[in-house]
Amino acid sequence: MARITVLKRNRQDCRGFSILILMVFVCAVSATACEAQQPGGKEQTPKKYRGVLGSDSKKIRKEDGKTFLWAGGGSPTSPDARWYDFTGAPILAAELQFGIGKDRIRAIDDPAFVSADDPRLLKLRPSPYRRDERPKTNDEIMVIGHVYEDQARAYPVALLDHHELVNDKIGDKALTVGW
Amino acid sequence: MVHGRETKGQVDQFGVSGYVYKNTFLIFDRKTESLWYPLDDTKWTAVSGSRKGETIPFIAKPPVVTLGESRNRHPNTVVLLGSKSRIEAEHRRPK
Repeated sequence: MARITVLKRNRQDCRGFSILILMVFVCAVSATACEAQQPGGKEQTPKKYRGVLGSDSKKIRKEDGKTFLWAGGGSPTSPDARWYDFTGAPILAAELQFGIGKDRIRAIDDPAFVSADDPRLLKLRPSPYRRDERPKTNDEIMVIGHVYEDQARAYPVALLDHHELVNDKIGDKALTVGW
Repeated sequence: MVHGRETKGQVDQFGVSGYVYKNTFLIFDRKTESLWYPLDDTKWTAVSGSRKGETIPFIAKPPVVTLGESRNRHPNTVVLLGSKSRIEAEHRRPK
């Protein structure tokens, strides 16, 4: 009798245990699925992005099978509004973030370069993301560098953080520099 | 990130579209206002507009260094100060 009770208890334990195993398995499978959705598959959990538009955003306009994205020049409901044609894009409009308007962050189109000793470099507006970084000498300024045909150029991180993009040209090579 | 700006012999100026996808900016070309996105690490691809499907190649991903380090490696380094027209406008402004 005692043995049967033990067996019964074991069976109950077993059931609990199998449910646990099943849960672990389900978790593992869904984690793998999430991972598979992430490009590169490095992220373990799906990332939450800030400022996602969502499908009912006024910044998305669908008309005659075409999709347009608000680009600025007046609110999305105003006749002055400008729109990007986003028809057929491999990205879902609803999954885009922010939409602050075209050129609200102004790329640098006519870059001016100075010698690495120029004192004006120390007076650049600090990066909004690294306000505590205040270089005391030019050599402490954080930059990314690019060399093309022996011409070395450095792009201060503070400028890239404010402008995001530089339309540059080294010799006859037209480049964009950004994050 | 450093990318080219030339497709089919034509040089583009790019601007910041105001949209972001998975925390990366979409840019636009000033001529056609097509939107471009780095669908993979090797290029920007026009995802919509009249240029859809065209690509501009990835060139380099330089690390963030100090200007001192950059200068040690390349003594002739010149440094970006900003937009030429904006610097000149600030210079003209009465103090």
